[in-house]
Amino acid sequence: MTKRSWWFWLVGLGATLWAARDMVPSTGEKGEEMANALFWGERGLFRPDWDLLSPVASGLTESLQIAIVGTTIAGLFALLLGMVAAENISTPALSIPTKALLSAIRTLPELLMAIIFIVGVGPGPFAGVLALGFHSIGTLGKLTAEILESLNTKPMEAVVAVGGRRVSIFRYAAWPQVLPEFLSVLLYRFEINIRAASILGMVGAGGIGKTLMFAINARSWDRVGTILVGIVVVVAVVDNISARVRAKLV
Amino acid sequence: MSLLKTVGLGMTYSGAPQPALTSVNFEANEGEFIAVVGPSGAGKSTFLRCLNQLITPTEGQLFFEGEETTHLKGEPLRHLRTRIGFIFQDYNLQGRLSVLQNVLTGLLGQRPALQTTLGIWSKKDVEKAHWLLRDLGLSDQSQKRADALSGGQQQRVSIARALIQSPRLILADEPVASLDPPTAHAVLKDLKRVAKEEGITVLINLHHIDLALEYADRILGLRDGVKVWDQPTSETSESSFTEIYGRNLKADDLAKE
Ligand SMILES: Nc1ncnc2c1ncn2[C@@H]1O[C@H](COP(=O)(O)OP(=O)(O)O)[C@@H](O)[C@H]1O
Ligand SMILES: [Mg+2]
Repeated sequence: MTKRSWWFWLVGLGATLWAARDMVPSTGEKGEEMANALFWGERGLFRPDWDLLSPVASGLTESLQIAIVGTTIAGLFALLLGMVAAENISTPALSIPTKALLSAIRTLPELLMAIIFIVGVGPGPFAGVLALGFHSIGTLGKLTAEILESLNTKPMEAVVAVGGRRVSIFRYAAWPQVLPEFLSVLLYRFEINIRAASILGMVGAGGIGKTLMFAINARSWDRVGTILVGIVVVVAVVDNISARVRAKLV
Repeated sequence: MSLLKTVGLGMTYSGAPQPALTSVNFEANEGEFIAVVGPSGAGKSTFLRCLNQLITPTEGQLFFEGEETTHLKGEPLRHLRTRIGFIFQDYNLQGRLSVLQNVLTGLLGQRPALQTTLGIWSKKDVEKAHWLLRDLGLSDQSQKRADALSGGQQQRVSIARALIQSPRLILADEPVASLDPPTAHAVLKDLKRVAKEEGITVLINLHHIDLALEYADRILGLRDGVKVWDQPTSETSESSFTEIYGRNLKADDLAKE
């Protein structure tokens, strides 16, 4: 190993130990008891309460709806902002500030946006939709601009050469390339948003998170277990379908 | 009759130290099949692209069907382009659209924008597209995605796209440079056959001299952006080519294949 890689490992190990020092679990009899209750107790995580299935299903459905509507709204705005941000379509005077705006939006976490929107429009799924929609515009807008900037111009040149108008260039040369790539990033964002939508409720922005929060506060680990299983199933199914569709698109 | 004429045509790309094309006087008659030859960088693509103004020439004048077209812009320029087909080295198809849609693309300058944008095409246009595809041996391919076809098939689709325009002139920029030799010959034969049938004038850039000798009625030799000679194919000789390539490239050229 070189001198430099020794230093690298040493600093990495030191930083990890320093960070872990303050992360020790509560010890003693009480800690053990709590851990037991959490995992194996009569009402532990691994003993899901199947009676809870119906409220869990409706909470999960709401999360799914929040993710769908939030992603769709973000997609529409991202398409517009992406065009303004794309250097080859827009002008530098518009493109540079729009790109800056999009990256500023990306830095604000969903939960923070959710809390702001809850205060602004009241608690419930609508605040969740706004939070997810707003946050997703940042990444989706950037990806849309990148898709537009990497457009293959050859088919476009062919439409120019036959005397086509701008609208024809867009419809017959650009759009057929943009649409599948855009849908693909939209679906990918949807996969991320369904995860986010399952915790939004913890701050009051609708979906399964609310039920989860109540169960945790009541230390009803059996109910928490049911909810976690539900989230895993929904996320896995969405991921799977979405990945298949994306593979078909490209 | 003269279809196309250039007078002192010149092109200097912005920022380039010297012109890519200098004072080219050239005339093409109806129904001629003319090859443009010259080494890489001689200005062949620049010449062709000036003719339908994919790039705007910086010097000289252009005439099409006896009318000056040098400074056309907007609608009149679009209208001029509808009468000139252009065939690209890389076919320039929209690979995600069907073969049929790609052929219909050739009519985009001639049909109402609203209808074509909604994807509405007249029965007559669709029939003509099918007829052209059949004529070029692609009748089974019309519903396939264009990028699912072989290179030779894709170039035939782009020929069909040019023909559906009912053009007076076809400009072809190295149309067979990306194809293997047997396919290149087959595609050139097809292009020449349909051009002769329809009385379309063809200007074709060819890197390979032997292809030019085999298919062209007339050959234009370019070197460093200058027209060196312009002769009926039968009058060209070994020394004509040495003159533009600066050495006997014919043997080299064949070896490259
Ligand atoms: N877009 C461009 N910008 C600047 N220079 C160019 C451009 N296209 C071509 N050229 C230059 O113009 C000259 C002629 O190029 P081109 O017409 O492509 O020749 P050919 O097709 O015979 O190979 C070359 O020196 C080339 O480098
Ligand atoms: Mg060229």
